[in-house]
Order: sequence, then structure tokens, then C-alpha cells
Amino acid sequence: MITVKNLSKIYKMGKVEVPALSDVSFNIEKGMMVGLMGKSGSGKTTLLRQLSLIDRPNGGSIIIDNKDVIDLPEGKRSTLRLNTLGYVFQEYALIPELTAIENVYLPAMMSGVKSSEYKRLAKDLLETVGLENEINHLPKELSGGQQQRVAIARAMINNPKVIFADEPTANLDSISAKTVMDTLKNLNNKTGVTIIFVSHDPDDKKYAKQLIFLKDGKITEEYV
Amino acid sequence: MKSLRSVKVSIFLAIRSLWRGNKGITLLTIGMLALIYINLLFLPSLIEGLSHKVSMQLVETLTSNVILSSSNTGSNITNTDELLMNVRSNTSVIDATPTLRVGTQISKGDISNVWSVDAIDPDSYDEVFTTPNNMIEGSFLDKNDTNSIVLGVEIAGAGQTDMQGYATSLKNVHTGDTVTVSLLNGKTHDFKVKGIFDNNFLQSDQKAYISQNEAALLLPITKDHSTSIYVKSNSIETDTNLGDNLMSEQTGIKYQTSDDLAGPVKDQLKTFDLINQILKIISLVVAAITVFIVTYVDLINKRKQIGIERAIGIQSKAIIGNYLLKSAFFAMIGIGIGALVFLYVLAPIVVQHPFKFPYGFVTLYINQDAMIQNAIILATVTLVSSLVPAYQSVRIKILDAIWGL
Repeated sequence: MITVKNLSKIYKMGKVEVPALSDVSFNIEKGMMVGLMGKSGSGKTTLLRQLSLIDRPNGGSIIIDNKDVIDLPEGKRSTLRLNTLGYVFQEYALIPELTAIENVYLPAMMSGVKSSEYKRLAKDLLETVGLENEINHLPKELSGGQQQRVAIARAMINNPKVIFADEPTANLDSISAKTVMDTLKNLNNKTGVTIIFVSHDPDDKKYAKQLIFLKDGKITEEYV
Repeated sequence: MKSLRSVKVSIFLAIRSLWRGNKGITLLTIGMLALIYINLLFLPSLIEGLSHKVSMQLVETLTSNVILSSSNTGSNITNTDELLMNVRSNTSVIDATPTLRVGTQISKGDISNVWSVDAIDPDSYDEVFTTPNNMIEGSFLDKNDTNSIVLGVEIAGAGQTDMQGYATSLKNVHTGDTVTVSLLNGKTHDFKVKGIFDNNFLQSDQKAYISQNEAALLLPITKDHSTSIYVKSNSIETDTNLGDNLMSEQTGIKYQTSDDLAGPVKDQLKTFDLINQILKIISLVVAAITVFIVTYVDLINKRKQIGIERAIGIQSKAIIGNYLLKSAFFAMIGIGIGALVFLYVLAPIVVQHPFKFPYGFVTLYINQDAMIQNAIILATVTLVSSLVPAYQSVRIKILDAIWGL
């Protein structure tokens, strides 16, 4: 499903070069729920951003479904992000002027799904994440946990092959955090969508079927 | 198909943003565009109003459209009746009136100055010029008036001490007073002031008129003579074309148009027009910069949102389109409000309280073509000013956008 080979990322801070990822390689099979674990500054979020095509690495390759996506032009990367990948941000990252259901169906609208279809899909997804009573609420009318579940529903709307979640529980209380992680786990189990999440909370290990530990931009341990 | 989807998403985002976004910023932007549009219209309309006023005053009180005179400098037209008949037979001519210079100096007591005194045919003069309608004292001449004179307010003074030319006028002459005119034959003659007119136009208010009948009594050689024939046209053809047509069958006659006689006024109008063009360019540059700043600040505040939209796969075209549509909406409403305020608030107020210029009271000239042209220019400037920062925002790295770098 996803093969990463010799991936490296260097950030430039003025004249100083800071290596964030060095020679990272691993495989992820379809349907896995993968936890990228490590302390703050270990490179886990950087790795997730390269995998989700939000950032471009300096070297190596990322192969998704047998296609190297590293050198794709921005237009094709955008299409891949829209139709094949889903993204859940650390901060809820909903569009404030759109209701919950509108936030969810926006990517489907962009990918050309029929209006009646994407509205039904968005409603179903919000029911799946337990927000059937909040579909017409604006983000400011939802709690942090609810917003994050809307973001998960949005990430699911185009039936992606992979969902990336960047510390999705970082800003949530423990109960909301558990609900969000349970939601991701259930989606993984029910739909078979591959989920790659970043967490620094050791308790989140229990949700993962595959664990990749990073330190100083390098993989230190990997369990399947 | 992809473009169509982008348009659909643009419209969706723009409508939601306008409907649920910050109403204060929306109102501020629309208000600002309305003011910029009014600013673009106001001064040019005033200058155009002034230009029209001057042209109108020239034609209606001083020069008419076309002026015929002898091609020999200093000579009179000697076949006035025949020429008048020919001129009046032209379908573009409303009427024509002859004038004959009869005097050069007017005095009242110790006060005296050089002003031209013309003999006119009051009936046809009334058809060509509006001066008879602008009497502030007494009445205008009748055909059979003798021993009567009408004076421009700049000659009579009429006790109007705040008047521009009061110092050089006769100061306090009123209807019923007697003034002395030095005639061209070297004699002087006393006339009773029948009326005083005020055209609110310095050049035409320095005129004095007596009737042709009176002139015939004072200067025997005036029969069929005139210094000038003033021709009022129905504006179907240009003044130059009319002049050319009138001249085609005439010899010894030359013509001038009101434009030819505008002289220093014309130079002033050219200067006003230049100022107008410069101010218009400055207004547009200010408009562009202002719209750019407002859009730019709005986009900087929404850069994170743009980053997120791009991260979830929304095409750049759709994001740019969203901002362009919002700008188009702001421009449309702002220009619409500006136009309504200009037409139905500002222009009527200026009609009630016109600006006073040496050429008379000036109101705003509503030029629909200029309004449309300015609206198109402002809308274009608005769109370009939002396109640039929107384009910049989708060009930067997604992470930089999300982090607000």
C-alpha cells in the first residue's frame, strides 16, 4: 500500500540546516492502523506531512499504490489529497463559515459527486461519528471533540485509501480523546481504510496494529 | 468538468463566507468601495458640470452657436436682411439675430468705463439668447423701445458691492436711472435704463443693448447693416458643419463657432480637464491600493484556512475563484450603493446648493457613459487587487500557509 524508502527532510533555518528525517524506510499494508510514536521533535509529524503530500521531502521515495508520488506536480498531488488521502489536523481545522455537514461534503463537492449523493454521504458519516444531531451546527457551536469528529467525517467523505491524523487528540480532554480514537479505530475496522496517526501519548499504542517509533528523525523501533 | 466543479465550489464558499462571515468587514469593504466610486465620480462631474455650464453660458448668452461677420476686419455686414433670410432657411437653424455695435463707452455722473453697446432686434434676440429671461431689475427691450437701454449687472453695478466687477462698474445704477453712451459717430446720447440683467457670466454681463429702431434714429447708416449675426442651431449637425454650410453660398462673410470664441475660458477648461484626468488616475491608484490592502489583510487572516482547504484537496482555482467572486460582489454592491448615493443624494443636494463659480452656479453633470466607465474600471481594479494576494496565497507552501508564515 505505502512504501517509504530512504526518506529525508531537511529544514533550513536561515543558513542552518536542521535534519528532520534521515533515511527513513518502512512499509504499510492496506487496512493497517499505524501509530507514529515518539517524543516531541522526533520527526513524526514531519514524516506524516511528507506521506500525506502536504510537504515535499528532500530525498527518498514514497510509493502509494505502486506509484511514486514524490515528484508529482502540485495539481496531481492536490487531486491525490482530494480523492485518495484524508487528513485530520491537530487543530480541528474546520472552515468556520460552513456547518458541520457542509464542512464534511466540501471535498466531495470538489471531486464531482452529485449533490444529493454527497449530502446523503455526509449525513451518514456524521451519524457514524455520532453527530447526527449537530449536522447544521457551525464549528463554533461544537466542542473540540465534536469538531475533531467532523474533521474525521470530512476526511472520510471521498472514500480515501488512507487517512492521516496528526495528533488528533492533542487538544482534547481525555473523554473526548478516547471518543476520537475509538471513532478512528471503528472506521478502520468497519471500512478497512488505512489510518496513520501521530501521537506522543503512550496510551494510544493500543489503537495501533503497526507502530513506528521515531527519535531524532530516524526509526528506532517498528512493530507489526 | 474540473473547472466547472471549481466554479461550483467557489460560488459555494463565497456565498457561505458572505452570509456567515464577518459582517463588519463586509460592510466596511462595501462602504469603502461606495465612497471610492463616489470620489471617482464627484470631481469629474463637477468639472464636467462647470465645463457644460461655461459652454452653455457662452452659447446662450454671448456667442450663440455660429457667429457670422464680415471677412473684412472692421467692416459691417451690409446685406443683413438677405443673409438672415438665407440663414433662417437652413433646417439646422432655429433662429438668427443681428447685432450692430453702436457705442463704446457708458457713463453715469463721474463714473465712466469702456463697454460695448449693441443695437439688437429684441424679438429675434429673445429666440437666440436667454439674456431676456435673466432680468434682475425692470424688463428687457421691446422692438419699439426708444431711448431705452438694458445693462448687464457688471456695468450697472446695481449696488451689489460683493460682485466681482463692482469696482469697475457704474456702481449703483438701477432701472429708471439715466446713463450716457458715447456713440460710434462721436456723439453722446442719454438713455433711460429699462432693465438690468444678470446671466451669472462675467463676459455676457458686461454688455449693454439698445433696440435697432433706436439705433436707426441715432445712426442713420444702420439700415441693413450689422456687426455680427448670431445663429442658434438645433445641434443636429456640428457648429463647424453648420458654419461651412452657411458659408457655401456667401462671399465676404466669415464664420466663427462658440468654441473659437471661448478664448481664455477654453484654456481654463482644458486646465480643468487636465486636473480632472490627473485626479482620476490618483483616485484609481488610491482605490487599487485600498482594495488591495483590505483584501490582503483579509487573506492574511485567512491564510491558515486557505492552507487547510488546499490540504484537503480543494483546487487552487476554486480558492482564488472564491475570493474573486467575493470581490466582484463587493464591487457590485459598493458601486451600486455609490451610484445610488451619487444620483439620488449628492446630485440633488448640489442642485439645491450649487457651487458658485465666476461662470455661474454649477451643479454636478451626470454622465452615464462616464459612470459606466468608472464602474468597469473600479470593478476591474477591485478584481485585480484581490486576484494578486489570492494568487500569492495559493502559491506558498501549504505548511507555510497553515502556520501563517
